[in-house]
Amino acid sequence: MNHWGKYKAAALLFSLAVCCAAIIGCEGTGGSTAPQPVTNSSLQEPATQIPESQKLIVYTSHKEEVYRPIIQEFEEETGILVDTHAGGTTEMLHLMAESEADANVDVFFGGGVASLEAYREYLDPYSVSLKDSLDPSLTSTDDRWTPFTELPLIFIYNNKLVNEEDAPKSWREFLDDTWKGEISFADPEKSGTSFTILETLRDVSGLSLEETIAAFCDAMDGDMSEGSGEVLQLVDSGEKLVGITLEESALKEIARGNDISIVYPEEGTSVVPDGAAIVRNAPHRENAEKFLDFIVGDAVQNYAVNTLSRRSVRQDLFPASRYDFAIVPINIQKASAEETKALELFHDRMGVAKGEATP
Amino acid sequence: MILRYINASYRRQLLTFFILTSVVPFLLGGWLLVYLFRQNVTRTYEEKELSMEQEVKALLLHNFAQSETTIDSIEEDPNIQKALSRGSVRNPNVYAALYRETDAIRDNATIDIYSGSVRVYSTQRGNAPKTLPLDMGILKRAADRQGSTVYSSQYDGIYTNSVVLQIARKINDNDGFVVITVGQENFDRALNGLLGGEKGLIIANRFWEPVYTTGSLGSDETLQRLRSEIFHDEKMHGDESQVTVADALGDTGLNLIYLAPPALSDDIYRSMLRVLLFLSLIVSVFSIALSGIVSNYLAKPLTVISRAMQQLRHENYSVRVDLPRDDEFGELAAGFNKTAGRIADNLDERVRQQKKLNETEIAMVQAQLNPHFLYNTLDTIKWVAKDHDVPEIAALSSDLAAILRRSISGKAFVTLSDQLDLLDKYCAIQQFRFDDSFTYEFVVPEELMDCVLPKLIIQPVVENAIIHGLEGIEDGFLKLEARHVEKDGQNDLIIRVTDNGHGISDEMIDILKRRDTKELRGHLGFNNVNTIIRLYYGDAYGIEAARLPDRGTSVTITLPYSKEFPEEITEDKT
Repeated sequence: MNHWGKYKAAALLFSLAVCCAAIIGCEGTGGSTAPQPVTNSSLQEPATQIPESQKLIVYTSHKEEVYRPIIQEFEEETGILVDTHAGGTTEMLHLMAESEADANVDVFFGGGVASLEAYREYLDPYSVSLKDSLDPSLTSTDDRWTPFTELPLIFIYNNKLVNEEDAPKSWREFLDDTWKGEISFADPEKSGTSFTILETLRDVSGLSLEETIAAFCDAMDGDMSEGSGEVLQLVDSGEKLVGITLEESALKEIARGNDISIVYPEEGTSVVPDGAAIVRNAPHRENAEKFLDFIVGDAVQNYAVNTLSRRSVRQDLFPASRYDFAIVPINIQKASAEETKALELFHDRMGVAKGEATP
Repeated sequence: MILRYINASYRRQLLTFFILTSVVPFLLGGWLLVYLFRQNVTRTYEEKELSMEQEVKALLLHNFAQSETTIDSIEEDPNIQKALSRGSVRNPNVYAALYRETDAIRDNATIDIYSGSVRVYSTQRGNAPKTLPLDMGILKRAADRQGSTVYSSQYDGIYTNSVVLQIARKINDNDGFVVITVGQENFDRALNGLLGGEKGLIIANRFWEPVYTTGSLGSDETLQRLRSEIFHDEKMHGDESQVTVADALGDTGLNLIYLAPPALSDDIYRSMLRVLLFLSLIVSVFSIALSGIVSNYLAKPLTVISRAMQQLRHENYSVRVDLPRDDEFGELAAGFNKTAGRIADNLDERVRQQKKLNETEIAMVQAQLNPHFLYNTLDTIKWVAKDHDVPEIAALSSDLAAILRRSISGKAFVTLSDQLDLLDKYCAIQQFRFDDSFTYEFVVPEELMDCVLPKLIIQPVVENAIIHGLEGIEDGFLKLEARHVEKDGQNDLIIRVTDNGHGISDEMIDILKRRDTKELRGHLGFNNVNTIIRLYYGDAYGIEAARLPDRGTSVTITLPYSKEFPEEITEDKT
């Protein structure tokens, strides 16, 4: 047994020796000069090691065409690296609420201020340096959020299928059978804009919330789209003849050459601002403040007006006479408070209108 | 355990060893080969990819350099500068100059000249008016870095939904700018298929926002992932076994990321290993077979001898090993055979000797005289003596005949009365021989007469008393007594022979006490009695001797009291 054991050990050692020699022998074509390659899961120092003071985390519900150039400009201007997370308003607000405890979001950029109001407990007040230049009717009472741009609601219609004379002029046309079943409108549960539309309808018509919703749902004939993006599409394609949407979106579509025309409601319309806010427990508070200041600054406000077809919240740059239509004021706090009830009513009524449930 | 199983057989040890030494090196070698091959190929490939990346980088930098030169010449062109300061538009001279300066790059980029935010000259077709803000975007970048060229990523979400690279420089103090726009298709054309389809290329700005992406591996998602890693202070690392190279593009502030698929995809590597495994299975099978044959062959002689040894142990002494070899096994076999032979011979010898002994015994028995002859002869003597009126001779021969008859008879046990009868005749003869120099007397109670005792117990004692004790004594007297002793659990027959002769020596007394058989050789009869009694009945019985206080000897025989004949197989010798 001893002999045999020795033989086996010797054999194993020999094989190992051969392996080692081979490995060593084959080593040694040194790496090339140039950049440190990131190869085969070998790790590399990032080109720039970014200090925390140069970072910002933004959650946004804006469309890419809105937030991307602004954020890129912010980066170039300040040298701060921004980590952007985009999504729908409701989705992003939920995410913000969930992440707030983990302290990994600094700024919420976007969303109607009504929605921001609803989530005010997650926000940290900040008074932007240009606050005095902002339209006071658009600001938050305790600076929980700051307005960014304001977006009037307008009517759109498919200009190939509807004549200019026949185009909708009044809010009331949306509460009777004038455009029954031809209205492009997004689920207010998903779209903040849609909720604002309902509020505007209620204010202009003078009816109660229930009555407004009932009438409107009947006019909708129980059919609505999932998101505000679709609203324009459906009118453009002709599936729906008319719609209510934000001026900004409509103008962009027109710029793109689509078959849409705008009408400003004769009773006037509501202008709801969207805004931005610093989230509680923001890990990069200072940079968040810089961002908020930046978006109400001259450059971005000009850009929003000139390129993004929005309306500025800066009174000094764009005085109030900029509006050539009447403003239907919306009490943001009040609207926010009755939102839940309104949504419930709406959904029930839509079910009835669709023929799903009995009233 | 397995080890024990292997060690139990030399053949298995050999087999295991052979298998291991053929399979293990193969496996190790094979794996090593695959591994080294992969390393080697990967390294060569990586080097190639690296040089490819350098090529791409050089190409891009060359193009950028051309742009710089173009901007330089525009900046230095007096026509253009004059036109800008005057604010004139669509001046053919300017256009001529512009086209001249931009000759090198015009095919693959758009060159615009801005006066303030208004585009005043452009190599782009058509006359669409265009403005750019001065307070943000490329013009702001250029203005901030007056005199230097900026390379910036510009995203248009409204019209084109795409990203372009804009290279711009402020060329005078009057908000005059040159902006060169390079779009995705320009890059594609510039690279002109330099990059293979499976690779990937990403150009990003210093914030890792995309400028240009191409190739199946150069996707926005990849850049997003890398960007996220940088943001979270994780080391940038490539996807699995891909080649990922991150490099700065000169001092433009742009970053280049070059991606290539792995040299040997995991699939290939795995299939190589699978082939290796398959081969090693074949090798193993082959090795096991061959090892089996060889180990069998090598271990066979040992097995043969071992089995023969087993046979030997089972007392089969005729077993032989047939191994006509010249080596140690051959010697072992020869030795075995010889030893087995000797054992067999020894056994035979012993058997023979035993036979001889038996034969001798038989011969001895056969040599014995026919007892009948003796009796008859003695009878004849008696009758002749009577005829010649010599009654002493008749008595002697008659007594002798009786004694002979008794002693030759096969029975080992006799009654006391029988023995006494015999002793009486013996003593009568001795008395006659010794010329009546002694008398004798037997005192035995009647009830003891049918006690059973071994034959020839008392006679040697009596003989000893007469021959040694009463030798030369004129008034000799011999007395034999027997009595039954029953006490202390004993049930003995005590026979006592006393004489008034010389008295037994102390030596003899001691020897009897010690039961030393050796010493009694001279008095064989005496010792035999002691030995017989002790052997048959145990150490509680036997004979003792003592000198009488006056003179003489007393010998006591202690026997168990019994009136029953023990079971015995009697030989009939009559």
